[in-house]
Amino acid sequence: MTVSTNTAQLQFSSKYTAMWRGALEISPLSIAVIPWGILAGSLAIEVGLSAVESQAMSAIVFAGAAQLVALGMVKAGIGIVGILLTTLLITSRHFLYSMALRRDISPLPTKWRLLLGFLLTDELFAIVATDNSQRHKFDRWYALGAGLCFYISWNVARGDSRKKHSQHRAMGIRFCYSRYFYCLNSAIN
Amino acid sequence: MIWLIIIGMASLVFISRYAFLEPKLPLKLSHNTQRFLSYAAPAVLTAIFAPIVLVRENSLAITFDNNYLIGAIIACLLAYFTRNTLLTALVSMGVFFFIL
Repeated sequence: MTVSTNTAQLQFSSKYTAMWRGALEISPLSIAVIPWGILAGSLAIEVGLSAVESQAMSAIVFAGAAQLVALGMVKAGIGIVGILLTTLLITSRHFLYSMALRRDISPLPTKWRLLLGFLLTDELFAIVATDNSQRHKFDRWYALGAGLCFYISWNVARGDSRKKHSQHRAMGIRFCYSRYFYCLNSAIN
Repeated sequence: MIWLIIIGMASLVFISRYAFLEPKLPLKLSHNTQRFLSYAAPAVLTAIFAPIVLVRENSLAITFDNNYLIGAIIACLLAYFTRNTLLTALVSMGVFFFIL
């Protein structure tokens, strides 16, 4: 009884530690994505989306580059077929990520696969790939902690932009390059 | 219309992220393929940032008046010497925003 309780506690604390470690290690990228999130938010308002639509787009689609391009196309009056074809092109890089993580994630239970699949951004992939190569093993809790931290940061940045939109746009454009760059750095480090 | 776009985009993005995580998909990756895929992160991320940093107005701009290039070089040096992602992100964003 005591032994099993201790084991359960130990498991709980190692899960918690792994999640926290994931959140901590992705936090620089979560910070770097804020200007990019504000840019996506202000562009959505400019194009004419309501606050709810704008926030829903960030929360459901959760893909910065695709969102920005799609919003530009909505503004230019391009139809849904064109927008979806372009989205497919931009998002196709994720096929490569999911293939690279197939060995680690495909044996997991369905809810884990769906959750980590939804959270699989450039940033999460860079962080998880680095961690895998350093520790020679995949940790689902680490990936979940990092993925959730990044998701929250992206959505909060978007929500924030509702209050201050357009004037931040120029700033956002200047910054948007950087997040990818940091991502790359962390991947190499 | 906007909702249709949001749902359509969300489906495509999710499918691309999830497709190869599905165990029912009949696909076996060899050791070599797995090794090949381990280079996916630096390869794809380089393809994304290189045009943003190096191209200005549709032509190659390796000049000192290209702020993006200077910012990138600073970020690179910081990353290489400090090995600290947080410091690199904050300092290079600060330099880019307030100085360049």
